[in-house]
Amino acid sequence: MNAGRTVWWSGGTLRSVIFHLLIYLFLSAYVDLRLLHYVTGATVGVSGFPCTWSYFLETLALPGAGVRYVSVFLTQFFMFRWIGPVVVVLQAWGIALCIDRIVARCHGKGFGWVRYVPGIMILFFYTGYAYHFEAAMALLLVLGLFNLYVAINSEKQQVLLVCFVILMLVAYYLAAAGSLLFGLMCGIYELVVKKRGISGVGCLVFGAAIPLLVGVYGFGLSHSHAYSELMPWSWRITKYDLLNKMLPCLYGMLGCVPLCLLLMGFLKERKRETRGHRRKNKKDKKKSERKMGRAGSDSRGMIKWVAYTVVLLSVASGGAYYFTNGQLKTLYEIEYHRGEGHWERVLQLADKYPGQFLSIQARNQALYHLGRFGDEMFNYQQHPEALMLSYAAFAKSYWHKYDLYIDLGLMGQADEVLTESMVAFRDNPHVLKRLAWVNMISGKHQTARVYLRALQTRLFFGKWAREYLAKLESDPDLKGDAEIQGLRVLMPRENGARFLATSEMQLQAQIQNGRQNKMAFEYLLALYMLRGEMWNVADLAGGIERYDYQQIPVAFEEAILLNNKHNNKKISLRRLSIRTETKQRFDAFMAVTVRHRTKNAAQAELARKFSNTYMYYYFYGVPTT
Amino acid sequence: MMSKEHIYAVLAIIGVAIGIGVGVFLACDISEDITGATPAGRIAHIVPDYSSIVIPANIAPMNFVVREDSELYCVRIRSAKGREIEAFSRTGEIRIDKGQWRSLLGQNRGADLEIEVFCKDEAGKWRRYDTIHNTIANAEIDGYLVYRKIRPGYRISGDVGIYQRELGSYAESVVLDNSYFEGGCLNCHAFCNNKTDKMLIGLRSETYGSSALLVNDGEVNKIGTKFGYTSWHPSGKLAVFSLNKVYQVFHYARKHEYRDVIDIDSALAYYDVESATVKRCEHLSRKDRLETYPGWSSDGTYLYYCSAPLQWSQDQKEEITPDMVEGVKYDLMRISYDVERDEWGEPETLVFAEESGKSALEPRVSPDGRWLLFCMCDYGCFPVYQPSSDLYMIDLGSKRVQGKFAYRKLLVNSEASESWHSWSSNSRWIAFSSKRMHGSFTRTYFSYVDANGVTSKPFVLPQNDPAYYESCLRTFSVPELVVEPVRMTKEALGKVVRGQVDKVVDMPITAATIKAKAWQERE
Repeated sequence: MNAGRTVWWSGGTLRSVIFHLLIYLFLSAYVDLRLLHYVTGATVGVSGFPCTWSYFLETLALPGAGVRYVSVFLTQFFMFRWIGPVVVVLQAWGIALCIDRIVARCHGKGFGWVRYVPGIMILFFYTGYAYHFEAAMALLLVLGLFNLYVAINSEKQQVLLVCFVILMLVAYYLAAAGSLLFGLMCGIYELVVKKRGISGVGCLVFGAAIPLLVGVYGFGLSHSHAYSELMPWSWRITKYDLLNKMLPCLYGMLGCVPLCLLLMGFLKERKRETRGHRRKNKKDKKKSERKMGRAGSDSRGMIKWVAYTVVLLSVASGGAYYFTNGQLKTLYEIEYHRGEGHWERVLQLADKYPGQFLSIQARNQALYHLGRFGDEMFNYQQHPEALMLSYAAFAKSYWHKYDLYIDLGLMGQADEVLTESMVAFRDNPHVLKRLAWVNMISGKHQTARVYLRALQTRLFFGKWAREYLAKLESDPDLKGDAEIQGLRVLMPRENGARFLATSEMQLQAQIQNGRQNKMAFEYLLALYMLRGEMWNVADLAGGIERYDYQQIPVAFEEAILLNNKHNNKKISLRRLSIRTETKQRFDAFMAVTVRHRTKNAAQAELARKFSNTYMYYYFYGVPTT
Repeated sequence: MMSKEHIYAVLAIIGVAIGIGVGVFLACDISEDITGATPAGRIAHIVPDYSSIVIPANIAPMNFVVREDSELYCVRIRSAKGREIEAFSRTGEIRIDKGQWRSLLGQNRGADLEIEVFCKDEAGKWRRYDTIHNTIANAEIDGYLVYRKIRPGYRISGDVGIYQRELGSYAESVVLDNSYFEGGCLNCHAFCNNKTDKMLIGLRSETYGSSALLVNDGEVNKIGTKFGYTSWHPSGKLAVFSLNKVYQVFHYARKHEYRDVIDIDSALAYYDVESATVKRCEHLSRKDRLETYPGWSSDGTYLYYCSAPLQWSQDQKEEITPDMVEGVKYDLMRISYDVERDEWGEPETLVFAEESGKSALEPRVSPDGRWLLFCMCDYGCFPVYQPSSDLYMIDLGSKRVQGKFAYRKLLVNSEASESWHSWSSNSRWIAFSSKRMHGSFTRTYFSYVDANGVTSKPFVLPQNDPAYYESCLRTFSVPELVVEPVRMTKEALGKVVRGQVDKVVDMPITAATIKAKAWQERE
């Protein structure tokens, strides 16, 4: 009989191992938690862990201290693809173990499946790139404390209440309003499971009162803060689109245990009513033992195990499939790889959503870095508002723009969007790093030092910051840093007469400062081409010989040919010439247009033969304003 | 009952703990004999720079970091009377004992305060740096400072709060932050006569709307209109405030500060506390001028303000260029007022922008009525984004030369922006924001003003952690000195913000709504 029990529990353990292992693999291989850490716009709350006493003391000064401090520390490991998921899985496993203990203590046979609910919800969060690590940590903590509470083996209600108040105080200090869950669970446990009315009511009353007494009167918090921090109804979660998605799952994760306690209590009550207590227990025990014995030995037990496991994994994988957001993931991946300079990978990813403005913007940047922008830009969809992401809907998408601004030498704009990102995403270390970088390029070393000193206390970022602080000491102008010097020369000259409010003005400023900013030149020419402004192309394209081109990029050749064909103002070249094959292609294109006479009639054939040319874009692709 | 074994175990644990404590204490005692130190021939580099300054006797210990290479640091602080303070440090961070500091400063008002710095090199030899001489002022500074702390972005508010700091210690508390009204922005705060019984706070909230909080003798009301820059009449009967149509522009090509704020339109109005009405004065809301930054004289007979000619007409406003913006320079003006009759006089100009070539802003009269402190920058209305902004002073008690008041630039200025200044209640101290230390981040500085209006070298607000500012990603703005703490709790203020408007006012004037191409409106 014992052997049977062992095997039955081993089966549960094995299922749990399989379940959590699969979550780990899924989070590592598919979700990639690095995206939540690296991509500034992915979530609010990954703020870097400052290893300082002042941060520790500052965190301790408010309820929720423990959960917040531990969460900020642990989420640092999201930086590493294979380590971040370990943290998440351990968290889910910890919650499952706590629930196991609770179910066992409440004799809640048949409720073992509840242990998987929070894990499944956590899986759903990360599948949808919703960050609720702190809420899960709060749940883990209050479940741990609840286990302690149910372990108190006292029939004296006064003792129970005193213990409850102590634990509730601990819960409130460490998990803020997450402690309400603790109070609720204790109340339900006492009222419904243990049938101790005074204790139950006491738990509910004290549980509700402690946030008021400690939070509002003790810590001086607002009522809403005291009763909502770290919980799904907190405005800090409901107000942010990045956090308020998947709120039903969050409620599911937090509500499953109280609900389970309630059900266990009611079912127990029903059984009590139908049978004599002792008789039932004996009978149940025998029945249970028989079943356990059978489970390990006969095939029915194995089938049941397999069925249970299959159902569990089906629910988890079905939900994960439902919450998967491929487009969001791709955009995050693009941001990540762009930040890392993995340009080929950016191209591959951008192909998944070729018409998405973010894809177009990132792809163009990747093409430039690979030296293929002018040659291949019309192999892909283009839009003038996507080039610099100047489309109105992206006006506040600051975090999608700073890398491009840095590449173009537009340090003022980069500083602005990075600063706004820092405000929005609360001292994200990747943003701080770029802010330090941009300010060093701009020569604003006083400001750069503040960012570097803030960064040097952050785990995993300190080394880089310390190196640059040392550099600033030994070489105040950073003349020995080739990368910084290379970007510094791209900066526009000070000119008080312009606001540089539009992409066009920004790019113009970059090429008018006489500093050979090739990227700005290509982008401005591309911008005019994409807008179909041949008069501006005519003005600008003639300057191509000032840059170090051995050969004119194909798209620019086509623009020059098109201009010279249709515009009175011709572009004349001295050093560079247009390739024969480009001329032939251009002539062939024109021949088709002449043959079909009308633009509409020619489109099908032109699309088939010349869809990757500027001529085709010019006639059919320029968006109407 | 505990068994004997348990008692012994507990005693053993206590013994070990005491032993460890004593060990740690002895290990931490790093004091050494430093007699015979060789002179370094210069003063030590300390951060923040607390050298050659005048300090109030009631300021918190001015902890600092010694930025010299050393194995061990020793600092001695002494004055004419009282016990010398000695502090040792392995890191260079010098934290001064509060009790000793308070006692030393308290006994030596008007005397010198000397700081001696010693550093020990690798060979174990001590260097003695030249003595730093500071002065302890006779006059105390007001006990509290109220300021806004915010990250330096300005499109997204993030975590914004108005805080108060007890200047005799490091205790900082929240007056109100935006977590009390689900995010949003907190604007300027204004007090009456350096006291906190009357206070106005402007705020913007997506959820609860734009409004002003009026604290008046223990009662808080929500006024249903946004107050801009505000100044209380000394009688407490009214407050003048600005209405600003604000736009933000970016001079991206500028190296030091690319951000800028302009008033497309602005005017002054005043709120009568008793009748809960907003009134206007024709001179302060002219259609052809931009009026802003009100500041009452200490006796309430004059309102000082800034005014610039409107450079653009209604139909030109979409075509405003940077040149036009840089041409906006504010005159410093004043207008007489009779509070009993509620009558305004004729405006007069104190500083003509045309003559100074600069834009005069933020006039603040000292409580004794003698000094008018203001700032001037190259152009515009937002000095904190103007590196050219410096503090100036007019002696209102001196005779006018050819009908004009003479102004002078103060010694407190730096290459960076100085702005948001305020006076202590005894007119001996000024607090202001400066970017001299950390570029984009403003910090609060204090300077002593003697009887002749001469200012001393400014010093930054002391912090318990002497390296606090070096990694502080928040800016400190609008520092206001007050003699008492804000007693209204943040919860009470927050509750009013979240509640209904209880003072509905009709605005007698409106700032025109203007579209400006390619400029982004403040959120």
